[in-house]
Amino acid sequence: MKTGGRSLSARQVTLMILGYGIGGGILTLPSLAAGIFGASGWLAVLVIGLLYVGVAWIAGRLAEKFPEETIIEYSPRLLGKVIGLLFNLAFIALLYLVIPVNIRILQELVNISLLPGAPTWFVSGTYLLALAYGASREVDQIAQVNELLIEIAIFVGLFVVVASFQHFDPIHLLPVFSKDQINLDQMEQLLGLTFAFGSLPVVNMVVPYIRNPRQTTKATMKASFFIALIYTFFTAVSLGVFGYKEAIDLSWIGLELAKSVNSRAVILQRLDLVLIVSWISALYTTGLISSFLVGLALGQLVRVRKKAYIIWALVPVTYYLSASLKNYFIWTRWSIYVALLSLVIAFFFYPLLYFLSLRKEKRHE
Amino acid sequence: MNRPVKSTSFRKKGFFFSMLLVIVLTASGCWQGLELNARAFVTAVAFDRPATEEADPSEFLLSVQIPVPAKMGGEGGDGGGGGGGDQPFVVFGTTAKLVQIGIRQLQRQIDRELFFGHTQLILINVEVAKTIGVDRLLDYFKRDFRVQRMTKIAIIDGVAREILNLQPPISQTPSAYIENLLSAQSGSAINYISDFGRFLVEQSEEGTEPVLPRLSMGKETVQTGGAAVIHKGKFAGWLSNLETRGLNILLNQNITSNYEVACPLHPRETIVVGAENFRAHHRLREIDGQTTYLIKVRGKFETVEFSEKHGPLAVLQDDLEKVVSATVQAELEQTIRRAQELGADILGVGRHLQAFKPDLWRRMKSNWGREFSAFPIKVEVKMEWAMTVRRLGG
Amino acid sequence: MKKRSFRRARPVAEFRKEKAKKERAGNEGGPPQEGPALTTDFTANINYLKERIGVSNDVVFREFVFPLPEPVQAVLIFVDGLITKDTINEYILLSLTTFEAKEADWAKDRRNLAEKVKDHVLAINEVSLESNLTLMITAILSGETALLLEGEDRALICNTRGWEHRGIEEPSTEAAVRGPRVGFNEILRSNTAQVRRWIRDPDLRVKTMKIGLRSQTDVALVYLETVANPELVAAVEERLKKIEIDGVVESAYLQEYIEDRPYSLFPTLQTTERVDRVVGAVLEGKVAVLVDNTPFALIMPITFWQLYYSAEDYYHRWPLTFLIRVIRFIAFFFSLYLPAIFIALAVHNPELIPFNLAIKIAGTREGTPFPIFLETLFMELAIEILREASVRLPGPFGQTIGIVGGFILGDTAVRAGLISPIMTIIVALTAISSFTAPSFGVAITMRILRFPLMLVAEIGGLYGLSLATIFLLINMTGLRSFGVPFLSPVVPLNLSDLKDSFFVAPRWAMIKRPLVNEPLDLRREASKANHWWEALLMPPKHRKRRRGKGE
Repeated sequence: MKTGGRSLSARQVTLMILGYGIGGGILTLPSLAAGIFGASGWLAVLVIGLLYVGVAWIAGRLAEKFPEETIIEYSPRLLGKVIGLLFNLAFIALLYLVIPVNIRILQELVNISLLPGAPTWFVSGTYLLALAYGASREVDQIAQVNELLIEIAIFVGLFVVVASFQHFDPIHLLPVFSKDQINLDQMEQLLGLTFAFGSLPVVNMVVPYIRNPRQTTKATMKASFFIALIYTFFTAVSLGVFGYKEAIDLSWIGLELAKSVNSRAVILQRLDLVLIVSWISALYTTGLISSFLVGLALGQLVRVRKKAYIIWALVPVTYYLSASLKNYFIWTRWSIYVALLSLVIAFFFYPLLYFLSLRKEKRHE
Repeated sequence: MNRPVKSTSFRKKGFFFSMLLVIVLTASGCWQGLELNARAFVTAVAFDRPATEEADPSEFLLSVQIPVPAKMGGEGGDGGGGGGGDQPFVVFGTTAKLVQIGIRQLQRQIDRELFFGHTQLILINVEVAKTIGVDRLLDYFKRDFRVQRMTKIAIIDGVAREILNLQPPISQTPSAYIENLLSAQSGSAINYISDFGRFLVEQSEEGTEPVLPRLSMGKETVQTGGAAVIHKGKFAGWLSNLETRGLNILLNQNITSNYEVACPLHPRETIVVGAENFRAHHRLREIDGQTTYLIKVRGKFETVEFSEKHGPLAVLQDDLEKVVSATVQAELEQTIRRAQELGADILGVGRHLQAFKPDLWRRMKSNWGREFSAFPIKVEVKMEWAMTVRRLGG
Repeated sequence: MKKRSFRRARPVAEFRKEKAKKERAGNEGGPPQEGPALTTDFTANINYLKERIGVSNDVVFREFVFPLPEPVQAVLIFVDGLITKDTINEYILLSLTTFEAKEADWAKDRRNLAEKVKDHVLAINEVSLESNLTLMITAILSGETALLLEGEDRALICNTRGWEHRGIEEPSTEAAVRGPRVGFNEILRSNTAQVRRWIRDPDLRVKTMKIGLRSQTDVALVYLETVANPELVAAVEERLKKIEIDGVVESAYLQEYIEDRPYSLFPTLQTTERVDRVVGAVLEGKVAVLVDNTPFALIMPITFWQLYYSAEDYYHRWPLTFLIRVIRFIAFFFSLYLPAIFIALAVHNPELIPFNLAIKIAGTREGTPFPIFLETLFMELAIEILREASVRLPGPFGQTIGIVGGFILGDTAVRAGLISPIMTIIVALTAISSFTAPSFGVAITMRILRFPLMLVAEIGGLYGLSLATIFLLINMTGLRSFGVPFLSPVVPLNLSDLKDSFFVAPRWAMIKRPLVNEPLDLRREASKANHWWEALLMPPKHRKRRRGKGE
């Protein structure tokens, strides 16, 4: 399967993790965080983000231990055949379930802004085709597409965030963790909050393609750190501009942020649609990488050489799943399942696998 | 190491799918794609009391202003000013209880689809704002993604619809004219600058109440000045021109304004000073065991009309600074008094309590309107004579 | 160094080769190398030759007697028009017919006569001996003169090439304000000589091969042996050798055979008429392929961005080049997207257009009969037709067409209310933008892509456009030019190469050759401190270290 050869630079891996992590989550993250933690939602995001940097270290080290294999290949050896298989299935499910949510978010975005009234089959269908078309490429091409798109998305996003500083009021970020504002009864929402962070599986899948596998941990940590930073910054500015009460009400807070930017001098009247256009690329990178990884992982699991067949075969299934996420509540519930899965993998299986690999190493000595 | 060549069957498949895509796309036609000329750009919306006296108090008269493209864009020349009675816009109106229904009723009269993406202005008659509430009227626009957050909102002391029909002195449409008036560029200190986005933020937040600019009809033009305080989504009361100026200073709105003060050395003479660079710092302080909201205002001023007769500069400086400070302070205190009178926390005191004294806030939250009226608020003003030497002596 | 894998030319080429072999198996003659040999039978040789090429009137057989003690029958064979008559008359015929055998000792022995004639009689700079009849015929047909002597089974091939040709002129397709005013012409030799004049490096290699079963066209690979990656050179050579076409009329014939992705819309080789461009490319470690009978050379490998560089970019100071390139890429964006974005905004998202502009556009469109999409499509088509017409018509007429089409047609259509003025602005801007592309090939690609993008914009608005752009990007990242990723150095990012991309660094700061070409010799400058003032500015210690490193 290693057709791509070792062609990815550390930078590209960092960007792939970023591209996978930064997607639809960022547009909704501030309102979720505000809903649970009130005005100090940004701090919560930072804390969770930093927590994931720690997990990133484990994931990176684990990947470095097996520089020639993906996690699908070595997990049965570490966990035993049955548990290994179960773990692999869960791992692939985690990668896969991101796609329908991703498609759904795109559908919503496009429908509320760019093409009101466009039918689902058109928007989701074309997007899905584009995903499959892209994902059936080789790994270096995926990395290149991701590199270009995610950079544009982050650049435009940051531009909007910085431009909206004109409305920023630091008092909106206070008080820090006040009892009145924290709504911990919505535990599932808290899970949803972590949905945006679960981008570590990427590194355990692409390590056989990294040019210099010894840079893996560094690249992973860098990416997680960036994700934490970007999310925190974005949440902080959103809350600072809108105040947490309004932030809860706004479902697509990133777009509202762009809408509130006064850009009279710019040739376009509004920035929000520009943001959406660039954000489609961020969404696309998430979907692209996860489709690619699903194809790769399933290919290794069932020993099919051509991952493209798997990817195209999954298209109708994905379409059906994304169409069954009918409304906001259903798909937030879904994203919670995905988040739960990612939590279990990140905080239980990664340390476990790492521990097992260390023990195995010792035994060999 | 030779890279495996992508098999041709694969490429064919990609080609096949892209062809499929094209066919699907062309077969499906277009959705909601509307020509520019099939849309009616609504530039301004106005809410009024229905003309008939016996109307239901929960009903309102909804008017929209739509520019006529052929008269505005068209062949360059005749666009300027639209003189000769042939106005470059039309105004439609209908009475309704809900904005959504009103718009649907309007749509029945207009052959093009009403489009709110370019709405620059939402004008609300004060009576309507009092009875129905600003909140309810704006709800529709809050939900329409195409409405901009930069849309200006104003409370009208008079009939809002008349403004839509007004012949603007310079700009092409009244909406453009009024939007400019309500923007910061008009530079008037007694004009409260706000927009839809700001209104929504202030509205949603606990411990702050929104303020909207006031517009009143003059003879042939519209005048800005003053502001409307909104309390719990409804109109609560006006702020006078000077109170608005005070509010602008308190909220750090970066204004420039003139003050007339008595000359400290020659009590009968007046000195006009131009003040600017106001900075207001809001603090919560314990004063005499009581939590007090302390606003420290600093600013700079420059004499505008000044002559030798007022006395030597060196002697005058201290006294003049004191006098100006006192004048400004009196005005700010008046603003605060007015706000407390109305029971509307337009200063954001509650927001500060929430951020820095959460315990106190928890106690006061439920009854904040009344608590605010009694809350000790202190203003300290220190004005400084900038003395940028533009001209020595008179 | 990482081993670069060069994609094989194309599977189809191999397939064709096999097919051609099968076909040829039955044919007489076979491949030229295996042709019949000359015999010692003089008349048989002549008869054979007369049968093969003597039928054509332009092939001249000049028989004469070589006055040795026992006279030798001889014949000169050449193609009239491909030779310089003076050379044949004075240096072959004259020296052979007036030869005085008495004075030469060697003439007493008749053995190895051909070699002796070559060594002692012929005053020609390039003479070789040939015993293969087919190769001899090829030589004759490419302008050389064959001398056959009685009783010899080897012919003397004398270089007498010379024909009417165009002089060296300024290339009209790639005009430049600054830079040398010379371009290639149709003569391969003169072209390689021009490159040689620029680079007097003994490492400059000119490797010639013949391509074309019938045309036997000379093709030359030009590269610097100690700079260009040998794998690259080998790949180019391999791909060229695989071509088995009947004739190479123009370098474009080769281009399509050796491209990595023959189905792509984008050209992955560069064509140029300018000598300086080829020289610059060769210095960067690229390979140039020059083809006889055409002034257009091929340069490989290239990246997408290089299609947007003009030769002149390197002759201006870097800030100016930077500006020019930025403008060119903006124009590229316009030429591809402007009509599509206009359609997307006007049809789906008018709230993005500032109000005053939107109302102006709506005003000018009031009463025009066609929907925006069709109007744009018609206008774009009209422009394409105009462009084609003005290219086909000779010089002054071309301009007339431009004026008639652009001004009269456009203006009348607007006046008649058939199209809106804004549309003429957009279409004109698009057309003008597309003219800024220095490479004709990529300009055409953009023109082709513009139409599907317009359709996508009509159907899917900005969403469709973003998706289409993503499609395009995936496609472009998949392209390679002799193993070089098409979008590098931007993706994958390569900071050193980025110095010569949209961003342009001063020349002295471009220390390394473009790394994407993976040259053998990385540095193009001896040391970094070679700009005179940089040496002054650097602290002495640092300067020493740098210099030590550089040399």
